[in-house]
Amino acid sequence: MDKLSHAQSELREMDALAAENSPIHRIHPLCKLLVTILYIVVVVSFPKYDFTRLIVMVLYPVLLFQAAGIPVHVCFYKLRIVLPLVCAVGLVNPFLDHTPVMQLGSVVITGGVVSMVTLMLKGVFSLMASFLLIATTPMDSLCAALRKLHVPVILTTLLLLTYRYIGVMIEELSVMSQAYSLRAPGQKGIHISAWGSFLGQMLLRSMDRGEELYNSMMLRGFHGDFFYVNVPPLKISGIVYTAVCTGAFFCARYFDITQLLGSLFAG
Amino acid sequence: MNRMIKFDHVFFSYDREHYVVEDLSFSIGKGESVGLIGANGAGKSTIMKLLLGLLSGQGEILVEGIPVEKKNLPQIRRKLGFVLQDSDNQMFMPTVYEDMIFGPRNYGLSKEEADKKVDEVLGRLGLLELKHRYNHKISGGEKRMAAIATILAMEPDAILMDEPSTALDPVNRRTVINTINSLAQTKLIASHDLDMILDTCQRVILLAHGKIVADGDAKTILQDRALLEANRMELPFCLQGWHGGK
Repeated sequence: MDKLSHAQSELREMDALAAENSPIHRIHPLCKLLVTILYIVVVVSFPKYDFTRLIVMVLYPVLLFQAAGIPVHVCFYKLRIVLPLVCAVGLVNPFLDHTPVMQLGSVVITGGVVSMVTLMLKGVFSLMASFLLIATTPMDSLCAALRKLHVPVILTTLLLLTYRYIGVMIEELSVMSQAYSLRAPGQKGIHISAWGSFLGQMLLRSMDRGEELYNSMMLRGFHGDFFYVNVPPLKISGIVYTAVCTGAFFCARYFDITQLLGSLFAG
Repeated sequence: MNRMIKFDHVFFSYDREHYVVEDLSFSIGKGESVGLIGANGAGKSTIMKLLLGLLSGQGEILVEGIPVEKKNLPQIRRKLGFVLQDSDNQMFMPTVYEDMIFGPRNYGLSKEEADKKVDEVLGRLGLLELKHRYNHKISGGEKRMAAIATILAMEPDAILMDEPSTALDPVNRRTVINTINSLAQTKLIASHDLDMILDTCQRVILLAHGKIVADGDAKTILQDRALLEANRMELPFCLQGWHGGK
């Protein structure tokens, strides 16, 4: 399988994950969206040297991945491209902040190292929570939730169609790339001299397909907003889920649960 | 017979120099099944687009007496269902069900009414097992049938089809032909598949360079080898006779 086909199958795997039927999948998308946003806000709000308290926040994605029946390693595999970028964000901190904050044996840990780890954890946790959201919520349900939050219809429609047509774009690109490689045997990738025409063709094909799609929608009465059909009704479980998660996040933010657990086990 | 579609001296040009459709006049009665044939570039798809208001030309086009004008487009499009040549462009929602419910919901049916309509159409076409399947996971033949189903769910008065038998294997092609024949609506089918046209249409309009070359009984026109060959077409295979072979 070439890289493009692999990308396409990964995209479809995400659709399949979101279409599963676990208790987490059944929660109303608006509740999941609000909890995810809140989680990210709380995670980001931790002070930069407070990584011991931050660590407890990993429980939310890890426990929910279990409840949703999604192995955590799937998350890390799917995020393998962006995770290094997120981790790279704090790499300069150790060079800027030399304040010693703790000592492990003879090794002095500086504030820069601690803040780097904190930043990395914040990034990784936020990505895990976002992945959890899209792996348990179909894109149209997510857009329906965004509409409930009064996000403009043009943005939700754009998001939905972009997501839906990434697959078609990859398909077109795959066909073009196969046609190219069949006439350029032994050549690795696409030669730089062909990039311009390749991109131009891609643009023209996208425009053609976009126009066809738009016509097809207009001919079936589309007037700017989708009727989302995959939205489960808001049940008491969704409200309880939101309330419990909100309470847990604020406890984690304002109480040192790590220390509490430590003292509980250490006596 | 009541008139469903009328073209009256219609002209259309993309570049204002060469007419793609030139002085075209014809009408189609309610319940008629008409094949639109002609070589590549003869103007078949353009006629469909003009009828649906996706292009606008000169002259008058009427659908059940309503002029095809911008202000009337929602009303016109409610009456006409268009099956696109490429089902991938038609089936843009993730599942067959979501695609089928798209039109009826946009036209104001409640979810319950639309659900009922979807079940009824899928049941009639024997496609109930496709209902919750992902569009990217169904075969080309199933996708074409599902595309027809999405249009039928809107209950149009007339169905326009652009190359409905393209890229189908013989069994799927036969299924599509049988489905077309089972529809009571007015049908306008643009195709190069003359065997399919012969199987589905009583009347044929032969186009060349945007003009009508022949308009009449399908069997008569499709048996006229000289006429077809003069317009870059061939006799349907079923009329070519058995020449034997290994």
